[in-house]
Amino acid sequence: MEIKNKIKDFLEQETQRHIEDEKENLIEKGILDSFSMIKLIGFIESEFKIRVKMEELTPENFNSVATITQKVLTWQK
Amino acid sequence: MAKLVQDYVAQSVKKFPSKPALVINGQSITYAGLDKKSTQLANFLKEKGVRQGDRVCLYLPKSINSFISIIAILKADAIYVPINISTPEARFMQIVPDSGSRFVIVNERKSLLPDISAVGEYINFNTEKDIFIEERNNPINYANDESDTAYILYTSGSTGVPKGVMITHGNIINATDWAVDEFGINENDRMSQHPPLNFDLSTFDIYTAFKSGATLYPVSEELSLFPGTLLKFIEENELTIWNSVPSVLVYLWNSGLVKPDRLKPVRKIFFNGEGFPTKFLAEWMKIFPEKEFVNMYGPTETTVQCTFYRISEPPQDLTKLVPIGKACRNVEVFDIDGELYVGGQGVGAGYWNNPEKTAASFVADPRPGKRGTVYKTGDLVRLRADGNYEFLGRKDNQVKIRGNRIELGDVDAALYSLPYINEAAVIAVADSESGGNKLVAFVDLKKFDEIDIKKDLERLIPPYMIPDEVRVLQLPKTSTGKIDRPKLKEMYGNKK
Repeated sequence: MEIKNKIKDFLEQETQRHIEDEKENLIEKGILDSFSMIKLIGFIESEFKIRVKMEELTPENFNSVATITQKVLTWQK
Repeated sequence: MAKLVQDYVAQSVKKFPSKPALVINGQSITYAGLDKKSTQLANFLKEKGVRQGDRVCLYLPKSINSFISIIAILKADAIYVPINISTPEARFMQIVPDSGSRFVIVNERKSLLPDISAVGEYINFNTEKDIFIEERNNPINYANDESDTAYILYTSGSTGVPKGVMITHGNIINATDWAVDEFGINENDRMSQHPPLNFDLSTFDIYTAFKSGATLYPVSEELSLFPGTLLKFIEENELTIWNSVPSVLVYLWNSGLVKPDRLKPVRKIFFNGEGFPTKFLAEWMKIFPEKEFVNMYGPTETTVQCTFYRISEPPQDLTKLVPIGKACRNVEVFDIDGELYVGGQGVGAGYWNNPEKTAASFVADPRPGKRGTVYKTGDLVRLRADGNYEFLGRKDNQVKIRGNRIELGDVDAALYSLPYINEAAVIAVADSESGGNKLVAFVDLKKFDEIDIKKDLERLIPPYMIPDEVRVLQLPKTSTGKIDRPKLKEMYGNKK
């Protein structure tokens, strides 16, 4: 499965909320909050075998399924 | 001495005209600029017909304009009613008419805004281009005095209708003057402004900064979700004072980025709004022995803080919250049968347009020989031998989620308003990761197909009120036929 879909599925399952599309702003919607963020980071680390660099997380690169996917791709390199 | 809140700005202009009052997203405004622009906007509001005691809503993201608006509304002798920008339309449309506001200040493209034409109109910074003009510099004579209301904050109500807490100029001035004196806040401080403006915690940072000539650094809420960015923000701006709900500090701690060599400029850390999970507080204090940690306590109805407790060393007993402490200046706290009452100059003016709820909570001092109005907090406390109070819990169904005050009945009411819900009950359970609470909804459904409960709730209640989990089942009942909430809690605990 694509990274994008894995992240979307995980977040939908975790928060029991529906994500309209990959561009939806998850922070504004309250889907990403301090609960789900920690869980998402744990998921990304175990699922994609990477280390999330907390310093590199910013509201611009981690606010939608699309931008999170982009960031995961750069960490995988 | 300041009599009205806006006098703080006037006094700081005299002493520090060219000092920045606010820095936000790389933009800043000096005290002189804040004073001038707020006068211009106040004159504009008066031209629009705003009169003494009128309510004006604020519905815009934190920006320089939102702080100019606050001071301007006060200068126009009016009352500001901040509404969080993440508030769903349904709730927004309860608050605007309930407050009787004729004007709502926004910063949006008009097409996106709810239709309020039946009750009032928007003042839109995005389209009104000529508010800030020299013709509106004429100084204003204030009609208000310290007993007049300065702001109304809407909090969760137990029946699904938010209630507006009225706080006066005198309330704010008492709380602010005390805090500046007690903690030595001065013009060299750089103060975080983290809480949303509709949250009473913001009263502390905004007005202690404006009184002392310090600089305020508004922090967007989303920045708090990014620990690295937030730490960098604090360090790059060399913030000296941090004020927030404890959950932000717990979250920062859990990121693993909080180390002894970080956050160097910060000298004081204030937290308020909920208990700081002691395990995390002890960790913070151990790595930052030179910083001052202060626990503040106070319901919205008693103006930000009515008690405080300086924590002198890392707590030993990790099973207990640190005390909420002793009363602030000109405030009195006492308990009757374990319930905390607050008296003195912090007690607000009651609930807007709601004499019944006001009469129930703002009561005549029940102690023999005492006069005056006291606020019945509903908080259960214990008085320690050293004179400090400890918070034990609530008498009713109010809970705190990341510092946000929520009446469980408010969430129940939102669930019951969904056509496919048969019965519903929301409980708060401990969340081990955050050390705080989370909400779990139990629902019995009339139909199961094509429903999305959380999505439907998004339209009705703010994001922090949406339950973290929803479980579908037939709800257990007590012998008297009521929903058995203790049983639900037990079931949740067993089924995790």
